[in-house]
Amino acid sequence: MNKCHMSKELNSFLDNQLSDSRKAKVVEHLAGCKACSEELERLKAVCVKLAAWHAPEPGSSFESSVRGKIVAWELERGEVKMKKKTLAILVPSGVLAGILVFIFVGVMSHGQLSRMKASTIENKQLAMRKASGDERYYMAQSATARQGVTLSDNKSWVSDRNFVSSAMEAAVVSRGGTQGSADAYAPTQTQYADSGEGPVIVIQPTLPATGQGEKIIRTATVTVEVEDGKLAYQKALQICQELGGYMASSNFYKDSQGREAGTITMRIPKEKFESAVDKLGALGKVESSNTDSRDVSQEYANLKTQLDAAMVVYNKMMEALQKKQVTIPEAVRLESELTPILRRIQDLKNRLEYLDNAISYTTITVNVHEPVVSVKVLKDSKRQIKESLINTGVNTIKFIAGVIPVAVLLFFWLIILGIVAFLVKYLVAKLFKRA
Amino acid sequence: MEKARDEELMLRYQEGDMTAMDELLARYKNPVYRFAYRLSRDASDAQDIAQEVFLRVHQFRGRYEPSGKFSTWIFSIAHNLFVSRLRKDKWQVNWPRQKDDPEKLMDFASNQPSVQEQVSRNEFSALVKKHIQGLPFLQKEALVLREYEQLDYEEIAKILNKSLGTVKTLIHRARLALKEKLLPYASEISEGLNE
Repeated sequence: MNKCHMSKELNSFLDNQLSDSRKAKVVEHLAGCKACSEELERLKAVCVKLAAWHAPEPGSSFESSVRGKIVAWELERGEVKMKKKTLAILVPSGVLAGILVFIFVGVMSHGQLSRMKASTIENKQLAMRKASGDERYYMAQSATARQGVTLSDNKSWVSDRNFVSSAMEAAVVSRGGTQGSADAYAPTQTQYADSGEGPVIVIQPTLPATGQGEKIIRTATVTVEVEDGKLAYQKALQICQELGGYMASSNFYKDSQGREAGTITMRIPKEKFESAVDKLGALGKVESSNTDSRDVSQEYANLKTQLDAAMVVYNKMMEALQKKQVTIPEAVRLESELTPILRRIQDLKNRLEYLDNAISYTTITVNVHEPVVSVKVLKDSKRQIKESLINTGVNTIKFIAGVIPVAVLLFFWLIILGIVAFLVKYLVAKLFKRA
Repeated sequence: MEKARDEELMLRYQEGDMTAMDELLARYKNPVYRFAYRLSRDASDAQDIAQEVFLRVHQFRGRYEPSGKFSTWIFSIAHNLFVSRLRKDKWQVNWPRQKDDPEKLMDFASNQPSVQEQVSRNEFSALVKKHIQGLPFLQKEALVLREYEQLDYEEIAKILNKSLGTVKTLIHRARLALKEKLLPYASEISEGLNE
C-alpha cells in the first residue's frame, strides 16, 4: 500500500481538480516517486475499467410519464385549493345564514306577539257583539230612526272616546227637538254592528229626551281596556267622588294570566251622568259603552195616584172617626179596615221613594281590565328574551373560557410530544452514525 | 442557433414557459436516470426516482436561484430523494435491528461468490456494477457523479452538502476499494482476451 503523503492527491490530480501550482508539485513528485507513479497508473486503470458499466437509457415513455405526474399533481393541488376556497366561502356564508336566521326568528316572534295582541282584541270585540245580539242592533236602529241621528255610515272601527263624546253631544243637541215628549224616551245604546266592509260602531244618543218632571232611570255599562288595571280602578273611584256620587259595589281581582281587572258599580247624580260616562271612557280604550234608560213616569204617576187615593180614603176615614163617637166594636172594625190602607200607603211611599232615588242617581257599571298582551306583558316578554340572550351569551363565554385552557394545554402537550419525538429521532440517528 | 443555458431555461420555466420544461427534461432525463439507475436496486426503482426528481423540479421550481448551476440543483434534488428514501426504508424495514447508516445500506457486497465464478468477458460490466453498488452510499454517490457524470469536486460537494475535503476522501476511498476488487481480475480478463 502506498504510504506516500502525496497519494491522497493522486485522485484529484487524475481528475484534474488541482490548481496549477498544486498540479506542478504533484508532477514534480511523480517524477521522483515510483510508488506514486504506479499508484496513479492503477487508478487510471480502475477508471478505465469502471467505464465498462453502461447504464441504459430511460424508456420512451419516460417524458410522458413525467408530464402525467405533473398534471396529476396540479389537478390534486387545484382540488385542494378549490376545497380551501369552498371552505372560505361556506364558513362565512354559514355564519351569515345563522345571523339571518336569528334575526328572522326574532322578528317573527315579535310579529307573533303583535298578532296575538290584535287577535285577542278582535276576539273580545267579536264575543261582545255576539253577546249583544241582533236585538241590540235592532234597538239601536229603531232608536236612531226616532232620534234622526245615525252614525252607522262610518266605515271605520270607531272606538275613540273623543268621537264617542262628540257623538253623544250631537245626540244631546238632537234631543232638544223631542224634549217634553214622554214617547221619545227610548233605551239608549252604544251598539256595534257589522257592515259588509267591516265592523262599524253605531253610537246611539246617550240620553233620551226628558221633559220637566219626567221620571227616567238611567244605567250605563262601560268596558274599558286599560294599561294599568289598578290605576284605572283608583281613577274610577276618584271620578265617582268628584261627581258627588257614591260607590254601590266594587270588585277588583287578578285573573289567571296575571292581568288586573275590576268592576265598579257607582251611583252618580243624574245631571252628572254624561260627564261621568265621558270621564270613565277616558280611562283607556273603550271597548263597549252601553247606556239604558227606563221610563218610569207612568209607573211613578200610577203609584202617586194610588197613594193619593189611599190617602183620601185614609183621611176620610180619619175624619169620620173624629166626627162621631164609635163603640169599641166599631173601633176595632175601623182599625182593621185602616190597617191595610196604611200598609198600602206605606208601600206606595216606599216604592215612590225608591223610584225617586233611582231617577235622581244613575247607575254606572265600569269594567276595567288589562289587555291580554299588555305593555307590561310585552315588557316582561322583552325582559325575558333579553335575559335569555344574556344567559346564552354568558353560557357561551363560559364554554369558550372552559375550552381555551384545554386547547392551550393540548397544544402545549403536543409541542412537548413533538420535541420529545424530535429528540428521540435525533438521538437514534446519532447512534446509527456512531455505529 | 445557440442553445439556451440551463439556467435561462429554468428562469423561463419559473415564469410558466412549459417549453423550457420540455427542453430541460430532454437534456437531463438521461443524466438523472443514469444517476438513479446506478444508485438504485433495479431499473424500475430508477425510473420511479428519476420521474420523482422531475416532479419535484416542477413543484419547487419557485425555489430555484439562478446563481447556482441547474445541474447542481437537480442532482441535489435526486440526492435528497435518495437519502429520504433510504431513511424511510431503514425505519420501515430494518430499524432497530440493523445498526447501519445510510452509507452502508446499499452494501450488496456481502455474500460474494468466488471471483472465478463471477468473472467472464460478458459479465465484467455486471461485476463493476456489483462492486460499485457494494460501496457505502456516499462513496458510491460521489464516485458515480465524478466518474459517470463528470462533475467537478466542488459541484459534488454542493450536491452532497459536504465539504470539498470530504468529497475528495469519499472518491479516494471508493477508488481504493474498487482498485482492490477489480484490478486483479482485470488482468485476468485481459490475459484471457489476449489468449
